[in-house]
Amino acid sequence: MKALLPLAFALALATPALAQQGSAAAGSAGTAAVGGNSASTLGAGAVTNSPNGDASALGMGASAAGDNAKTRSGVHGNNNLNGNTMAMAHNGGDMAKSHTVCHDRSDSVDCRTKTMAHEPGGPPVKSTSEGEASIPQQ
Amino acid sequence: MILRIRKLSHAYLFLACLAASPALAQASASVTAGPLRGDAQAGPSNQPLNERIARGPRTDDTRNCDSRGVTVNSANGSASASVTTSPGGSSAVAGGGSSGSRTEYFGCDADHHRSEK
Repeated sequence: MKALLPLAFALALATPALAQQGSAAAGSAGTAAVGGNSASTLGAGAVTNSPNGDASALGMGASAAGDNAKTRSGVHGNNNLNGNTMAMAHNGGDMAKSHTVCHDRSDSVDCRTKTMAHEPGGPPVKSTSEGEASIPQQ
Repeated sequence: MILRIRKLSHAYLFLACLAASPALAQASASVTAGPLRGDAQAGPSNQPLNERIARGPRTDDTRNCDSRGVTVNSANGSASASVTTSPGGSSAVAGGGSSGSRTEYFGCDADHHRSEK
């Protein structure tokens, strides 16, 4: 019985510490186009937990073409990264728009992109794409 | 008998540690949308750091704002992400990473944004 105690103690110490080790990467992207306007956005993130330390990285991008094109991208945070990017182009009544949001957490990455294209007189055409990855539980 | 039990426990301990040590697999993601391309990688890699991620042409040309890129490398190189744009239209890129990471911008934003946390 005495001999089994160190084994139980070692397992109790080792298992929680190693439970979150691994890597995850994910991204999402989308494009909307209508009447000579186009808007694209994407995000890609990675997170890794290892004995050498935890690390994460996140990149966001936006591109738009048309008469009135606007783009914006940003990443904020240290340990939990939040990324946001937007692209929009319009002329008259035609409008193309794309928006991506990413969250890079300590054990997962998830990105979501929403796009919308609209012509006057018609309903907006919308789409959503998602990418998600988690560090598997050991 | 006690000696046998102790040897057995040591064997179990060794096996338990082997089982509890997960293989640190590499993970990667690549996405494209129109003129945009994004890549992210995490985990151990045998490739040199500068070959692990997609880079845009490092022009550092502030006169040409059509093409942009951003690359993020974590401090120990185990996580990286990059986004590049092709010339044309309006574009914006942004990157960030955990403490100690290095974020490098290419193209039009190169002069304004270079950060090291």
